[in-house]
Amino acid sequence: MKTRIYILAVLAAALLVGACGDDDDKGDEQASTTSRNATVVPARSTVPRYGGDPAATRTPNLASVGQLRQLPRSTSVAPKVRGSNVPLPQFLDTVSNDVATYWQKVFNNSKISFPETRQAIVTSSTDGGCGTVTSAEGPPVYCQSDRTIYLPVGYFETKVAPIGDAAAVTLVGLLWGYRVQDAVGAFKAVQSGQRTGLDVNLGAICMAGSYMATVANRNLLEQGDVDEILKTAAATADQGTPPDVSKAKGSGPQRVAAFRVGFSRGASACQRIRAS
Amino acid sequence: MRPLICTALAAAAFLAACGEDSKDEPEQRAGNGAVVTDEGARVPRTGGDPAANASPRGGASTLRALGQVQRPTPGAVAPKIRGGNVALPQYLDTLANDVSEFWQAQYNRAGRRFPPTRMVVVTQSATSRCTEKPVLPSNPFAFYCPADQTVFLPVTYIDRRYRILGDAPVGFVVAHEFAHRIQHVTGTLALKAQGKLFTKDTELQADCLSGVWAASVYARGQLDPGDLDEFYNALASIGDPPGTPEEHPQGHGTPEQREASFKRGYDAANTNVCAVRPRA
Repeated sequence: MKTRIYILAVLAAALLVGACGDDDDKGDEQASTTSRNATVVPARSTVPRYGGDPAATRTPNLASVGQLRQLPRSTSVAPKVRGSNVPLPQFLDTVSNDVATYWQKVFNNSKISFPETRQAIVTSSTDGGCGTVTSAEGPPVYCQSDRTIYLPVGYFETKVAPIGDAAAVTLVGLLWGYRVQDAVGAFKAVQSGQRTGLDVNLGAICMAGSYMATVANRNLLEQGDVDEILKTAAATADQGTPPDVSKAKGSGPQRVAAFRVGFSRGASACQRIRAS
Repeated sequence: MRPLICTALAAAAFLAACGEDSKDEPEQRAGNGAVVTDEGARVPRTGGDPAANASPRGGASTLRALGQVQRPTPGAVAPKIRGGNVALPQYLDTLANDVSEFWQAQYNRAGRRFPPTRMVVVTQSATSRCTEKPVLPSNPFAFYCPADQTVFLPVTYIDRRYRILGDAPVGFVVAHEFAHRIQHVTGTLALKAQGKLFTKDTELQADCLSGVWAASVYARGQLDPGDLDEFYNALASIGDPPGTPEEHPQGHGTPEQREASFKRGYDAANTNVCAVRPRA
């Protein structure tokens, strides 16, 4: 059964200056793309692109979120979340890598292993584990069955970029929130009735908040970004998400409150995010 | 618009830098207590000489005297602690008025005088005796400068660090920095300068006094559902990292201590629970 998390927030990706493509110049082999038309940026198709902490041997489970330890401030090299001339695909790639790095470090820091994840920057269309994702229509999605985050460039350009670059960053952060939820088994917990779809959705936006705090702490936010971020966090529209998970995204204020918990208290506080 | 308040988060750093100034007798400014700031802000009409109240005992008697906050007054005119629809500088201005008027009223009720205080909402650039560089809107903390008797509230910083957490946390920043002004007046900062209090002690007291102010906001029916969560989230986000020594010159307390201190003031709605004891 395919599980899709579609996020249709109205977002706009302006451009991020990515003076930071630095992360990995190792240049792994061209990663195999998930399909002919999906651009999976070389060396970045699998994220994070390092092996992780050997000591991180604990397998993630539902309780893992509550055990995540906050990172010391400003440890990570970040993409600049600022408008610039960087092409959108590169911007999305840089941001997603930054989020990936964040989660990898958080899990490492907590000695919990973080499973391999892939990301696809979709410039045309691609068939993946959750069906076809087109650049224009998207939607941005984390697909559980192939553990891949799909970032459709056209969608970001027309629906997200008009809001702003910080909106795009927040949306990417949210997709990664779903990835983390999947990693700890939250989707399965929905099926078994241990969690509700609303729990998972609010937890994901909470996790996006925990990442966005690192963006703020690195002094990467500009005038207007806060409004973009809050607007994106509040967005509830979605399409095609499986009923068990995505029917209930929560109200705007509910989502913003969850985002703020993550932003202020870190990822571990997202364990407490429950709808009721 | 009257009092403008400048608040900074990391007041500690600045207080530390300016600690000795708190012993100085602040000079009187404009006769009626109103002081025009660099950005044209005015302070409330509060009179008196701050040195007259200075007490090396940490201002415990003043805090006892200030005591209980006012009970809800039906129809009382109060600024809404709701910042959703106004520009941040304007909202900060409203809060600055609210906080200073609240404390002025407490002092008045106790029969004590509260000296002029400036609050500057920094939207462009401001100058302070506590720093050689201009204070910019992006200054990475709000602060009270004893030498200036002024609270500085850098707008851009407060936007990214507090408004993102809600309208209530913006009020917290203002209240927290104004609390340092009260500590100046009560002689508590002087006590810290003498080494009898850690920075953390004064910071946690400022959180407690902020809680008392927040209780007054609640009493006036101006606290929205969710505001308390916002306060506590904000406090949690600005606590010291694990492993910070108690005597750290910029220590503010752990997240848990900050939440607890604010809660103490909020729950009691009375300043006397905020008293600090000098360390030996």
